[in-house]
Amino acid sequence: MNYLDWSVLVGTILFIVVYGVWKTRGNKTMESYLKGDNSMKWWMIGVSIMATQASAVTFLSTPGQAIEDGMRFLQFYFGLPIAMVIISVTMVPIYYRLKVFTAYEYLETRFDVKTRSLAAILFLILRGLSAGITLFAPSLVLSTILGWPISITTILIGLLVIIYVISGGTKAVSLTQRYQLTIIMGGMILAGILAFTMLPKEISFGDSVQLAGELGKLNLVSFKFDLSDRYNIWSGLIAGTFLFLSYFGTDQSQVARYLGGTSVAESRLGLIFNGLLKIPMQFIILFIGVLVFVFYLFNQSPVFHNQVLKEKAMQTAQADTLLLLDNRYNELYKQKRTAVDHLVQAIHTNDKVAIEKESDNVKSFQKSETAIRDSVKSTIAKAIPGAKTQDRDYIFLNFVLSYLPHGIIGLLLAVMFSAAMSSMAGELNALASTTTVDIYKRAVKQTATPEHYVTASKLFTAIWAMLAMIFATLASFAENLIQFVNIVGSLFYGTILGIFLVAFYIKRVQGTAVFWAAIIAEALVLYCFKYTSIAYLLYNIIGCAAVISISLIFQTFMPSQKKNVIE
Amino acid sequence: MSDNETPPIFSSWKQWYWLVLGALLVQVVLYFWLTQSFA
Repeated sequence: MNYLDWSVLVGTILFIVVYGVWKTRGNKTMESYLKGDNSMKWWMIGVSIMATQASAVTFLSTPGQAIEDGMRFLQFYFGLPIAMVIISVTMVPIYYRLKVFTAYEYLETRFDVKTRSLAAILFLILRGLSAGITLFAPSLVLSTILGWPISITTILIGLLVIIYVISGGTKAVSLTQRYQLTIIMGGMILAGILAFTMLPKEISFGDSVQLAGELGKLNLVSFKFDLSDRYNIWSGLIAGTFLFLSYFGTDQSQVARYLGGTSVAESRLGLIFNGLLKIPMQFIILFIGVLVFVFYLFNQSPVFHNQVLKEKAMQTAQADTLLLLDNRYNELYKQKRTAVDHLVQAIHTNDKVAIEKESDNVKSFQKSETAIRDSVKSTIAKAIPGAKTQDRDYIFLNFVLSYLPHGIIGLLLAVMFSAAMSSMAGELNALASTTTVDIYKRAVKQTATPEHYVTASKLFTAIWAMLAMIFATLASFAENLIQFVNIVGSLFYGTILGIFLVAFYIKRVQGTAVFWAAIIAEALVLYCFKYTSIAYLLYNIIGCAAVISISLIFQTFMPSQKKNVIE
Repeated sequence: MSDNETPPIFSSWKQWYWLVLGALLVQVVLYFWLTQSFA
C-alpha cells in the first residue's frame, strides 16, 4: 500500500459518507426517515437490494470458492428469480395497500399483535447476530492484511456506517448503495481483466476458459440428484426458492428496500431487476476467481494465503517443519508448471488424447499441492493454537496485494470496505425500523410526534451498531462463530417464513392458532437442535412445515374470531 | 398507490414474470452447455 492506494481508499470512503449525509440532510418525518419518502425508482431499489445482500464476505470468499471448488456455487442462486416473481405477485401489493413501515406490521392486520411481536423479536435476534458477523468477517481479513488490530477495523467500519445511516436513514442507505455497488462491480471486473492480461502472451481467452474447464472449474450445472451434495440444480431451485422467499419476503433488511419505492410498479421492477441480474453478477464474480485460478497456473501461489499468520507461525518451534513444507511445495510447483505447459501445447494442437492425459497429470499435481497445504495448515494450528487456518477468504485479497498495480490495490480495498458498509447499513436500518415501529411505537410509546420517533430510530440505529461492534470485537473464534450464526438463522427463519406463508395463503387460520403453532414449531426446532443430529439447514423446512400444519390443526378446534381478513 | 398499475414496456405483469423465468431457463441452458463443452 502506497500513498496512491491510501488516497483512493480514503477518498472513496469519505465520498460515500459525505454524500450520504449531505444528500439526506433534514429528514424529519418517519415517512422520509424509514421509507425514504417513497421516492425510490426501480433501478435504485434493484441496486439497493443487490448491495444489501452482497456483503464483503461475498467478494472476499466467492473468488476463493471458485478457485478451490469451481463455479458450482452459482446453482445456489437459481431459486432467486422464482422467489422474486412470487414476492412481486403476492407480498408487494399487500405491503403497499396497508402502507406498512415493516413486514411485521402486516401480521397484526392479518392476525394480532402477539404474532406481530413474536415475528419481530425473532427477526431482531437473527439480524442482530448477523450484523455482528457482517462486520466481523471483513474486519478480520482487513485487519490481517493491513496489520491493524481487529478492534480498529471493526470500529472504523462501524462508525463510518453509523454516520450516514443515523443522518439519512433509509434514503441514505439506498443513495450510497448505488455508488458502492458501482465501485464494487467496477473494481472486481477490473481485477478480472488485469488477471487475464498478466497471463503469458500465448494464452488466449479461449485457452483460459478451456484450461479452467479441463481442470474442473467450469462445473456450473449438475442435474444429479444427491441430498448430500450442497450445490446442484435441485437444491438451488427447491431449497433456494424457500430460502430467498424467506429472506426477500419477510426479512426487514430487504423488505425496507422495496417499501421505499414510489409505487407498486417501481418495487416490482426493482425485484425483477434483481431476478434478472443477480445470477449474471454471481457468474462474473465466480469467473473472476476462475481467471485468478488460471493466473496461478503460470505463477506460483503462496502455500498458505494468510501470510501474516504464517509469518507468526515461522517465529515458533514449527518453523523448520514449515520451511520443509515450503521447499516441497516449491519443487512441486516447478513440476506442475511443466505439466501445465504440456497441457497448453495439447490444447493448441487440439490433441484430445494428449489433453486428457496432461489434464490428469496437472490434476495429480494439484492433489499433491492440496496435501502439502493441509499439512501447512495443521502445522500452523500446532504452532498457534486456536488460529483460524481456513485461508480461502484471503486468496483473492492476497492476489490483489501481490500482483495488482498501485491505485488498483486501493480501489479493491475500497470495494471490500464498500461492500461491508452497504450490507451493514441495510441491516442497521432494518433493525432500527423494526425496533422503533414494532416494539417501541407499538408497546412502549404509542403516541408521540414524528420527530420523536425519528430520534428514537436514530438512537436504536446507534445501539444496534454498538451491539454489532461489541459482538464483532469480542468474537475471536471465527469459524465456529460463522457456523453458529448460520445455525441461529436456521433455528428461526423456518418459523418466521411459516407464519408469513400462513398469513398469505391460508386465510381460514387466525392469530391465536398461528401464534401457538409458531411457539410449538420453535420448540420443536430447538428440540431437534438439542437432541437430534438433523442437518441444521433442514430446520428451515421443519419449522415452516410445523407452523403450517399445527396452525391448521389448531384452527379446526378453535372458534373463529371475527376479523377483517386482508387479501 | 394502486397495485393494478400497468407495467412499462409490456402490457401486463405476467409478461415481465415470464421474462424473468425465461431468462432463468436460458441461463441454465447456457451454463449447462458451458459445463458440458469444457468439463
